[in-house]
Amino acid sequence: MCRVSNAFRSPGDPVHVNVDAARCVGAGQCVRTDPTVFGQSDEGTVRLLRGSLPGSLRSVVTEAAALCPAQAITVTGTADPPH
Amino acid sequence: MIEIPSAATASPQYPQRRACPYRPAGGYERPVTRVRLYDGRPAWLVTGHETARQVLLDAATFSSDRQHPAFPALAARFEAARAVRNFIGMDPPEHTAQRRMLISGFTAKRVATLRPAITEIVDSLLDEVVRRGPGVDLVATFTLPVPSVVICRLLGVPYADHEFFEHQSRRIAAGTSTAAESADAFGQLKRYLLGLIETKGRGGEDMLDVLVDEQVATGTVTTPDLVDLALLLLVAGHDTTASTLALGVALLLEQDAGAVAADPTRVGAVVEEILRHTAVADGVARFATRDTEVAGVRIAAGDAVVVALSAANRDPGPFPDPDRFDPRRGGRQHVTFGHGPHQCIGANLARAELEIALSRLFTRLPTLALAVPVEELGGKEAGGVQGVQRLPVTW
Repeated sequence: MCRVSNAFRSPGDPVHVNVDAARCVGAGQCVRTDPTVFGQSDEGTVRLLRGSLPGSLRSVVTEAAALCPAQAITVTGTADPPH
Repeated sequence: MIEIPSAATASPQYPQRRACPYRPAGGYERPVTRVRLYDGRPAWLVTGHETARQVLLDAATFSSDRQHPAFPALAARFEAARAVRNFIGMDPPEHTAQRRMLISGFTAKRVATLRPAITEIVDSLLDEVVRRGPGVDLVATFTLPVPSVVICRLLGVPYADHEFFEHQSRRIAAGTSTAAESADAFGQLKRYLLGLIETKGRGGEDMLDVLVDEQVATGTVTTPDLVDLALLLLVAGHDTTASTLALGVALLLEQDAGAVAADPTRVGAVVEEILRHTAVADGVARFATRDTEVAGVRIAAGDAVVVALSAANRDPGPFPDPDRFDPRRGGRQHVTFGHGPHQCIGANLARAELEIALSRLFTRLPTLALAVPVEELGGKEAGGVQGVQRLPVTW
Protein backbone atom coordinates (compact mmCIF):
# COMPACT_ATOMS: atom_id res chain seq x y z
CA MET A 1 0.00 0.00 0.00
CA CYS A 2 1.18 3.51 -0.75
CA ARG A 3 2.23 5.33 2.37
CA VAL A 4 2.16 8.98 1.36
CA SER A 5 2.16 11.60 4.02
CA ASN A 6 -0.40 14.30 3.47
CA ALA A 7 0.88 17.72 4.33
CA PHE A 8 -2.59 19.20 3.96
CA ARG A 9 -4.14 17.11 6.71
CA SER A 10 -3.54 18.60 10.12
CA PRO A 11 -3.02 16.26 13.09
CA GLY A 12 -6.22 17.68 14.56
CA ASP A 13 -8.52 16.16 11.91
CA PRO A 14 -10.92 13.52 13.24
CA VAL A 15 -9.93 9.89 13.07
CA HIS A 16 -12.37 7.25 11.89
CA VAL A 17 -12.03 3.76 13.27
CA ASN A 18 -13.79 0.62 12.10
CA VAL A 19 -13.83 -2.62 14.05
CA ASP A 20 -14.75 -6.01 12.65
CA ALA A 21 -16.16 -8.21 15.42
CA ALA A 22 -16.30 -11.16 13.02
CA ARG A 23 -12.51 -11.11 12.65
CA CYS A 24 -11.86 -10.40 16.34
CA VAL A 25 -10.13 -13.16 18.34
CA GLY A 26 -10.69 -11.53 21.71
CA ALA A 27 -7.03 -10.95 22.56
CA GLY A 28 -7.97 -7.65 24.21
CA GLN A 29 -4.92 -5.75 22.93
CA CYS A 30 -7.12 -2.81 21.90
CA VAL A 31 -8.81 -2.51 25.29
CA ARG A 32 -5.39 -2.49 26.87
CA THR A 33 -4.30 0.26 24.48
CA ASP A 34 -7.27 2.55 25.24
CA PRO A 35 -10.27 1.34 27.25
CA THR A 36 -12.13 4.60 26.52
CA VAL A 37 -12.17 3.85 22.79
CA PHE A 38 -12.32 0.06 22.66
CA GLY A 39 -14.42 -2.30 24.72
CA GLN A 40 -15.46 -5.95 24.60
CA SER A 41 -18.96 -7.36 24.33
CA ASP A 42 -20.13 -9.97 26.83
CA GLU A 43 -19.06 -12.54 24.23
CA GLY A 44 -15.55 -11.08 24.34
CA THR A 45 -15.36 -9.51 20.88
CA VAL A 46 -14.37 -5.93 20.11
CA ARG A 47 -16.80 -3.04 20.48
CA LEU A 48 -16.19 0.58 19.58
CA LEU A 49 -17.21 2.77 22.50
CA ARG A 50 -17.03 6.06 20.61
CA GLY A 51 -17.80 6.97 17.01
CA SER A 52 -15.71 9.76 15.53
CA LEU A 53 -12.54 10.43 17.45
CA PRO A 54 -10.46 13.59 17.82
CA GLY A 55 -7.15 13.70 15.96
CA SER A 56 -5.33 13.65 19.28
CA LEU A 57 -6.20 9.95 19.54
CA ARG A 58 -4.70 9.11 16.14
CA SER A 59 -1.49 7.61 17.48
CA VAL A 60 -3.38 5.58 20.08
CA VAL A 61 -5.83 4.00 17.63
CA THR A 62 -3.07 3.44 15.07
CA GLU A 63 -1.13 1.56 17.74
CA ALA A 64 -4.22 -0.50 18.60
CA ALA A 65 -4.65 -1.38 14.92
CA ALA A 66 -0.99 -2.42 14.63
CA LEU A 67 -1.13 -4.55 17.78
CA CYS A 68 -4.42 -6.26 16.92
CA PRO A 69 -3.51 -9.89 16.17
CA ALA A 70 -6.55 -10.36 13.94
CA GLN A 71 -6.37 -7.17 11.84
CA ALA A 72 -9.87 -6.37 13.07
CA ILE A 73 -9.23 -2.64 13.47
CA THR A 74 -8.91 -0.22 10.56
CA VAL A 75 -8.16 3.45 10.92
CA THR A 76 -9.15 5.95 8.24
CA GLY A 77 -8.86 9.69 8.08
CA THR A 78 -5.24 9.53 9.13
CA ALA A 79 -2.26 10.80 7.21
CA ASP A 80 -0.51 7.48 7.49
CA PRO A 81 -2.92 4.55 7.42
CA PRO A 82 -1.79 1.24 8.88
CA HIS A 83 -0.98 -1.31 6.23
CA MET B 1 40.19 -33.30 -0.44
CA ILE B 2 37.42 -30.82 0.12
CA GLU B 3 34.37 -32.13 1.84
CA ILE B 4 31.18 -30.43 0.79
CA PRO B 5 28.54 -30.79 3.47
CA SER B 6 25.05 -31.58 2.29
CA ALA B 7 22.44 -28.87 2.77
CA ALA B 8 20.84 -30.77 5.63
CA THR B 9 23.99 -31.16 7.72
CA ALA B 10 25.08 -27.58 7.02
CA SER B 11 21.91 -26.13 8.56
CA PRO B 12 22.10 -25.35 12.27
CA GLN B 13 20.00 -27.31 14.73
CA TYR B 14 16.81 -25.78 16.12
CA PRO B 15 16.06 -25.42 18.96
CA GLN B 16 19.32 -25.24 20.95
CA ARG B 17 19.83 -25.06 24.68
CA ARG B 18 20.03 -21.57 26.14
CA ALA B 19 23.39 -20.85 27.77
CA CYS B 20 21.71 -18.19 29.89
CA PRO B 21 18.11 -18.99 30.88
CA TYR B 22 16.79 -15.67 29.62
CA ARG B 23 18.83 -15.35 26.42
CA PRO B 24 17.73 -17.25 23.31
CA ALA B 25 20.35 -19.56 21.87
CA GLY B 26 21.51 -19.79 18.32
CA GLY B 27 22.32 -16.48 16.70
CA TYR B 28 20.30 -17.58 13.67
CA GLU B 29 20.33 -15.50 10.51
CA ARG B 30 17.56 -12.96 9.95
CA PRO B 31 14.84 -12.76 8.80
CA VAL B 32 14.48 -16.36 7.53
CA THR B 33 17.00 -19.17 7.64
CA ARG B 34 17.21 -22.90 7.07
CA VAL B 35 17.46 -25.12 10.17
CA ARG B 36 17.29 -28.80 11.07
CA LEU B 37 14.75 -30.04 13.60
CA TYR B 38 15.38 -32.67 16.30
CA ASP B 39 14.30 -35.48 13.96
CA GLY B 40 16.49 -34.24 11.13
CA ARG B 41 13.64 -32.64 9.23
CA PRO B 42 14.61 -29.38 7.50
CA ALA B 43 12.57 -26.31 8.40
CA TRP B 44 12.42 -22.58 7.69
CA LEU B 45 13.14 -20.59 10.84
CA VAL B 46 11.56 -17.14 10.88
CA THR B 47 13.62 -14.82 13.07
CA GLY B 48 12.76 -11.32 11.78
CA HIS B 49 10.12 -9.47 13.80
CA GLU B 50 8.01 -8.16 10.92
CA THR B 51 8.35 -11.46 9.03
CA ALA B 52 7.27 -13.37 12.13
CA ARG B 53 4.16 -11.22 12.47
CA GLN B 54 3.38 -11.68 8.78
CA VAL B 55 3.62 -15.50 9.00
CA LEU B 56 1.60 -15.67 12.22
CA LEU B 57 -1.16 -13.49 10.75
CA ASP B 58 -1.58 -15.69 7.67
CA ALA B 59 -3.24 -18.78 9.10
CA ALA B 60 -4.47 -19.84 5.65
CA THR B 61 -0.93 -20.19 4.27
CA PHE B 62 0.74 -21.32 7.50
CA SER B 63 -1.34 -24.04 9.10
CA SER B 64 -1.44 -24.96 12.80
CA ASP B 65 -3.21 -28.27 12.15
CA ARG B 66 -1.30 -30.59 14.48
CA GLN B 67 -3.01 -33.66 13.10
CA HIS B 68 -1.79 -33.03 9.56
CA PRO B 69 1.24 -35.23 8.73
CA ALA B 70 3.14 -32.17 7.44
CA PHE B 71 2.89 -30.41 10.83
CA PRO B 72 6.41 -30.36 12.30
CA ALA B 73 7.36 -31.40 15.83
CA LEU B 74 9.97 -29.20 17.56
CA ALA B 75 10.86 -31.93 20.08
CA ALA B 76 9.88 -35.54 20.67
CA ARG B 77 7.31 -34.46 23.23
CA PHE B 78 5.28 -32.67 20.56
CA GLU B 79 4.58 -35.97 18.80
CA ALA B 80 2.22 -36.82 21.67
CA ALA B 81 0.37 -33.51 21.32
CA ARG B 82 -0.91 -34.59 17.90
CA ALA B 83 -3.53 -36.73 19.66
CA VAL B 84 -4.84 -33.85 21.76
CA ARG B 85 -7.48 -31.85 19.93
CA ASN B 86 -7.82 -28.25 20.95
CA PHE B 87 -7.80 -24.88 19.21
CA ILE B 88 -4.04 -24.29 19.52
CA GLY B 89 -3.64 -27.08 16.94
CA MET B 90 -6.55 -26.18 14.65
CA ASP B 91 -7.07 -23.82 11.72
CA PRO B 92 -10.00 -21.48 11.15
CA PRO B 93 -12.98 -21.97 11.02
CA GLU B 94 -12.71 -24.86 13.53
CA HIS B 95 -10.21 -22.84 15.57
CA THR B 96 -12.42 -19.76 15.55
CA ALA B 97 -15.47 -21.65 16.83
CA GLN B 98 -13.57 -23.16 19.76
CA ARG B 99 -11.76 -19.95 20.65
CA ARG B 100 -15.04 -18.03 20.55
CA MET B 101 -16.40 -20.22 23.37
CA LEU B 102 -13.55 -19.08 25.62
CA ILE B 103 -12.86 -15.42 24.96
CA SER B 104 -15.64 -14.17 27.24
CA GLY B 105 -13.72 -15.76 30.13
CA PHE B 106 -10.58 -13.75 29.37
CA THR B 107 -11.89 -10.24 28.62
CA ALA B 108 -10.23 -7.16 30.08
CA LYS B 109 -13.25 -6.73 32.36
CA ARG B 110 -13.03 -10.33 33.60
CA VAL B 111 -9.28 -10.02 34.25
CA ALA B 112 -9.87 -6.71 36.09
CA THR B 113 -12.38 -8.41 38.40
CA LEU B 114 -9.78 -11.10 39.17
CA ARG B 115 -7.12 -8.60 40.29
CA PRO B 116 -8.20 -8.36 43.96
CA ALA B 117 -8.26 -12.17 44.22
CA ILE B 118 -4.83 -12.44 42.54
CA THR B 119 -3.45 -9.83 44.97
CA GLU B 120 -4.82 -11.79 47.91
CA ILE B 121 -3.29 -15.04 46.59
CA VAL B 122 0.08 -13.33 46.03
CA ASP B 123 0.10 -11.76 49.50
CA SER B 124 -0.76 -14.95 51.32
CA LEU B 125 1.99 -16.82 49.43
CA LEU B 126 4.42 -14.02 50.33
CA ASP B 127 3.44 -14.38 54.00
CA GLU B 128 4.68 -17.96 53.79
CA VAL B 129 7.87 -16.93 51.93
CA VAL B 130 8.64 -14.43 54.70
CA ARG B 131 7.82 -17.00 57.38
CA ARG B 132 10.28 -19.49 55.86
CA GLY B 133 12.95 -16.81 55.74
CA PRO B 134 16.09 -16.19 53.69
CA GLY B 135 17.30 -19.20 51.70
CA VAL B 136 13.77 -20.08 50.57
CA ASP B 137 13.27 -21.32 46.98
CA LEU B 138 10.89 -18.96 45.20
CA VAL B 139 10.06 -21.48 42.47
CA ALA B 140 8.47 -23.87 44.96
CA THR B 141 6.91 -21.24 47.20
CA PHE B 142 5.95 -18.38 44.92
CA THR B 143 6.57 -18.34 41.16
CA LEU B 144 4.88 -21.71 40.51
CA PRO B 145 2.06 -21.47 43.09
CA VAL B 146 0.86 -17.98 42.00
CA PRO B 147 -0.33 -18.95 38.49
CA SER B 148 -1.27 -22.44 39.66
CA VAL B 149 -3.67 -21.17 42.33
CA VAL B 150 -5.06 -18.54 39.93
CA ILE B 151 -5.82 -20.99 37.10
CA CYS B 152 -7.40 -23.41 39.59
CA ARG B 153 -9.77 -20.70 40.82
CA LEU B 154 -10.58 -19.58 37.28
CA LEU B 155 -11.26 -23.05 35.86
CA GLY B 156 -12.65 -24.62 39.02
CA VAL B 157 -9.89 -27.19 39.50
CA PRO B 158 -9.19 -28.13 43.17
CA TYR B 159 -5.78 -26.70 44.13
CA ALA B 160 -5.41 -29.71 46.45
CA ASP B 161 -4.53 -31.64 43.26
CA HIS B 162 -1.76 -29.24 42.29
CA GLU B 163 1.17 -31.61 42.85
CA PHE B 164 -0.41 -34.08 40.44
CA PHE B 165 -1.19 -31.66 37.62
CA GLU B 166 2.01 -29.64 38.03
CA HIS B 167 4.04 -32.83 37.79
CA GLN B 168 2.15 -34.04 34.71
CA SER B 169 2.44 -30.59 33.12
CA ARG B 170 6.20 -30.67 33.60
CA ARG B 171 6.30 -34.09 31.91
CA ILE B 172 4.44 -32.57 28.96
CA ALA B 173 6.43 -29.34 28.74
CA ALA B 174 10.00 -30.52 29.46
CA GLY B 175 12.31 -30.51 26.45
CA THR B 176 13.73 -33.87 27.58
CA SER B 177 10.38 -35.70 27.65
CA THR B 178 10.06 -38.55 25.20
CA ALA B 179 6.93 -38.98 23.09
CA ALA B 180 5.88 -41.86 25.36
CA GLU B 181 6.37 -39.87 28.58
CA SER B 182 4.50 -36.92 27.20
CA ALA B 183 1.67 -39.18 25.91
CA ASP B 184 1.40 -40.84 29.32
CA ALA B 185 1.18 -37.43 31.04
CA PHE B 186 -1.51 -36.34 28.58
CA GLY B 187 -3.42 -39.57 29.30
CA GLN B 188 -3.27 -39.08 33.07
CA LEU B 189 -4.40 -35.46 32.84
CA LYS B 190 -7.23 -36.39 30.47
CA ARG B 191 -8.55 -39.04 32.87
CA TYR B 192 -8.31 -36.60 35.76
CA LEU B 193 -10.09 -33.82 33.88
CA LEU B 194 -12.82 -36.14 32.58
CA GLY B 195 -13.62 -37.11 36.17
CA LEU B 196 -13.66 -33.45 37.17
CA ILE B 197 -15.80 -32.30 34.23
CA GLU B 198 -18.40 -34.94 35.05
CA THR B 199 -18.99 -33.07 38.33
CA LYS B 200 -19.24 -29.65 36.63
CA GLY B 201 -22.17 -27.58 35.40
CA ARG B 202 -25.49 -27.39 37.21
CA GLY B 203 -25.36 -23.63 37.54
CA GLY B 204 -21.83 -23.42 38.97
CA GLU B 205 -19.85 -20.26 38.28
CA ASP B 206 -16.31 -21.29 37.41
CA MET B 207 -15.18 -21.56 33.80
CA LEU B 208 -15.58 -25.33 33.50
CA ASP B 209 -19.11 -25.12 35.03
CA VAL B 210 -20.08 -22.47 32.49
CA LEU B 211 -18.58 -24.43 29.57
CA VAL B 212 -20.48 -27.57 30.60
CA ASP B 213 -23.77 -25.69 31.08
CA GLU B 214 -23.54 -23.51 28.01
CA GLN B 215 -21.48 -25.45 25.48
CA VAL B 216 -21.68 -29.17 26.26
CA ALA B 217 -25.38 -29.00 27.17
CA THR B 218 -26.20 -27.28 23.87
CA GLY B 219 -24.03 -29.65 21.82
CA THR B 220 -21.50 -26.98 20.74
CA VAL B 221 -18.67 -29.09 22.13
CA THR B 222 -18.48 -32.74 23.15
CA THR B 223 -17.24 -33.83 26.58
CA PRO B 224 -14.02 -35.39 25.14
CA ASP B 225 -13.31 -32.14 23.26
CA LEU B 226 -13.90 -30.14 26.45
CA VAL B 227 -11.42 -32.41 28.25
CA ASP B 228 -8.76 -31.60 25.63
CA LEU B 229 -9.61 -27.92 25.90
CA ALA B 230 -9.47 -27.91 29.71
CA LEU B 231 -6.11 -29.66 29.48
CA LEU B 232 -4.71 -26.82 27.38
CA LEU B 233 -6.09 -24.16 29.72
CA LEU B 234 -4.74 -25.90 32.81
CA VAL B 235 -1.24 -26.65 31.47
CA ALA B 236 -0.69 -23.48 29.43
CA GLY B 237 -2.47 -21.50 32.15
CA HIS B 238 0.17 -22.05 34.78
CA ASP B 239 3.40 -23.41 33.33
CA THR B 240 4.32 -20.53 31.01
CA THR B 241 3.39 -17.81 33.52
CA ALA B 242 5.27 -19.62 36.29
CA SER B 243 8.39 -19.84 34.11
CA THR B 244 8.15 -16.18 33.04
CA LEU B 245 7.69 -15.04 36.63
CA ALA B 246 10.74 -16.99 37.82
CA LEU B 247 12.89 -15.73 34.95
CA GLY B 248 11.57 -12.22 35.52
CA VAL B 249 12.57 -12.27 39.19
CA ALA B 250 16.03 -13.63 38.31
CA LEU B 251 16.47 -11.02 35.59
CA LEU B 252 15.39 -8.11 37.82
CA LEU B 253 17.72 -9.26 40.60
CA GLU B 254 20.62 -9.70 38.21
CA GLN B 255 19.93 -6.22 36.80
CA ASP B 256 19.39 -4.74 40.27
CA ALA B 257 16.07 -3.42 38.96
CA GLY B 258 13.66 -4.63 41.64
CA ALA B 259 12.80 -1.08 42.71
CA VAL B 260 11.34 -0.37 39.25
CA ALA B 261 9.02 -3.36 39.58
CA ALA B 262 7.87 -2.13 43.00
CA ASP B 263 6.67 1.10 41.39
CA PRO B 264 3.01 0.55 40.37
CA THR B 265 3.29 3.16 37.61
CA ARG B 266 6.22 1.34 36.00
CA VAL B 267 5.55 -2.33 36.64
CA GLY B 268 3.48 -2.66 33.44
CA ALA B 269 6.44 -1.60 31.31
CA VAL B 270 8.77 -3.84 33.35
CA VAL B 271 6.51 -6.81 32.62
CA GLU B 272 6.50 -6.12 28.87
CA GLU B 273 10.30 -5.95 28.82
CA ILE B 274 10.52 -9.18 30.85
CA LEU B 275 8.14 -10.82 28.38
CA ARG B 276 10.21 -9.62 25.41
CA HIS B 277 13.43 -10.69 27.04
CA THR B 278 12.46 -14.12 28.36
CA ALA B 279 9.94 -15.48 25.76
CA VAL B 280 9.63 -18.87 27.44
CA ALA B 281 8.05 -20.51 24.40
CA ASP B 282 11.04 -20.23 22.08
CA GLY B 283 9.22 -21.01 18.88
CA VAL B 284 5.92 -22.12 17.36
CA ALA B 285 5.46 -24.52 14.47
CA ARG B 286 3.46 -24.21 11.25
CA PHE B 287 3.52 -25.82 7.81
CA ALA B 288 2.97 -24.17 4.45
CA THR B 289 -0.34 -25.08 2.81
CA ARG B 290 0.79 -23.77 -0.60
CA ASP B 291 3.87 -22.53 -2.40
CA THR B 292 4.63 -19.07 -1.09
CA GLU B 293 7.38 -16.53 -0.51
CA VAL B 294 8.44 -14.97 2.78
CA ALA B 295 10.96 -12.12 2.91
CA GLY B 296 12.17 -13.17 -0.56
CA VAL B 297 12.57 -16.84 0.42
CA ARG B 298 10.55 -19.38 -1.56
CA ILE B 299 8.70 -21.85 0.62
CA ALA B 300 7.05 -24.92 -0.89
CA ALA B 301 3.71 -26.43 0.08
CA GLY B 302 4.28 -28.90 2.92
CA ASP B 303 7.48 -27.24 4.17
CA ALA B 304 7.96 -26.92 7.93
CA VAL B 305 8.02 -23.33 9.16
CA VAL B 306 9.02 -22.37 12.70
CA VAL B 307 8.49 -18.87 14.02
CA ALA B 308 11.25 -18.17 16.54
CA LEU B 309 9.42 -15.88 18.95
CA SER B 310 12.42 -15.33 21.21
CA ALA B 311 14.68 -14.50 18.25
CA ALA B 312 12.10 -12.12 16.73
CA ASN B 313 12.03 -10.32 20.09
CA ARG B 314 15.76 -9.63 19.66
CA ASP B 315 15.41 -8.12 16.18
CA PRO B 316 17.46 -4.90 16.36
CA GLY B 317 15.04 -3.18 13.93
CA PRO B 318 12.12 -2.66 16.30
CA PHE B 319 14.26 -3.23 19.42
CA PRO B 320 17.52 -1.22 19.22
CA ASP B 321 20.33 -2.77 21.32
CA PRO B 322 18.04 -5.81 21.70
CA ASP B 323 20.06 -7.70 24.32
CA ARG B 324 19.88 -4.80 26.74
CA PHE B 325 17.17 -5.11 29.39
CA ASP B 326 15.47 -1.74 29.32
CA PRO B 327 12.09 -1.36 31.07
CA ARG B 328 11.70 2.05 29.46
CA ARG B 329 10.94 0.38 26.09
CA GLY B 330 7.57 -0.56 27.49
CA GLY B 331 5.78 -1.44 24.25
CA ARG B 332 3.76 -4.54 23.44
CA GLN B 333 5.30 -5.11 20.01
CA HIS B 334 7.08 -8.25 21.18
CA VAL B 335 5.70 -11.57 19.93
CA THR B 336 6.06 -13.54 23.17
CA PHE B 337 2.31 -14.24 23.09
CA GLY B 338 2.45 -14.85 19.34
CA HIS B 339 0.42 -12.86 16.83
CA GLY B 340 -2.51 -13.57 14.54
CA PRO B 341 -5.57 -15.67 15.39
CA HIS B 342 -3.57 -17.94 17.72
CA GLN B 343 -2.24 -15.14 19.93
CA CYS B 344 -2.31 -16.33 23.54
CA ILE B 345 -5.87 -16.11 24.86
CA GLY B 346 -4.60 -15.70 28.41
CA ALA B 347 -2.11 -12.91 27.66
CA ASN B 348 -3.88 -10.27 29.71
CA LEU B 349 -4.41 -12.67 32.61
CA ALA B 350 -0.68 -13.50 32.52
CA ARG B 351 0.17 -9.79 32.47
CA ALA B 352 -2.05 -9.15 35.50
CA GLU B 353 -0.45 -12.03 37.42
CA LEU B 354 3.08 -10.91 36.55
CA GLU B 355 2.39 -7.27 37.43
CA ILE B 356 0.82 -8.09 40.77
CA ALA B 357 3.34 -10.78 41.74
CA LEU B 358 6.39 -8.66 40.88
CA SER B 359 5.13 -5.43 42.42
CA ARG B 360 4.10 -7.15 45.65
CA LEU B 361 7.31 -9.21 45.87
CA PHE B 362 9.63 -6.22 45.47
CA THR B 363 7.47 -3.97 47.66
CA ARG B 364 7.52 -6.43 50.54
CA LEU B 365 11.11 -7.59 50.09
CA PRO B 366 13.00 -4.57 48.70
CA THR B 367 16.39 -6.03 49.64
CA LEU B 368 15.73 -9.31 47.81
CA ALA B 369 18.85 -10.90 46.27
CA LEU B 370 19.78 -14.18 44.57
CA ALA B 371 21.35 -16.64 47.02
CA VAL B 372 23.36 -18.26 44.19
CA PRO B 373 24.70 -16.96 40.85
CA VAL B 374 22.25 -17.02 37.90
CA GLU B 375 24.32 -19.80 36.30
CA GLU B 376 23.38 -22.11 39.19
CA LEU B 377 19.61 -21.69 38.82
CA GLY B 378 19.50 -24.59 36.37
CA GLY B 379 18.00 -23.69 33.00
CA LYS B 380 15.67 -25.94 30.99
CA GLU B 381 16.41 -28.18 28.03
CA ALA B 382 15.86 -26.94 24.48
CA GLY B 383 12.44 -27.74 23.03
CA GLY B 384 10.66 -27.20 26.33
CA VAL B 385 9.15 -24.21 28.05
CA GLN B 386 12.17 -22.19 29.22
CA GLY B 387 12.71 -21.29 32.87
CA VAL B 388 14.78 -22.12 35.90
CA GLN B 389 14.72 -25.15 38.18
CA ARG B 390 15.12 -23.21 41.42
CA LEU B 391 15.35 -19.67 42.68
CA PRO B 392 16.92 -19.52 46.15
CA VAL B 393 16.85 -15.98 47.52
CA THR B 394 17.90 -13.98 50.53
CA TRP B 395 16.94 -10.53 51.88
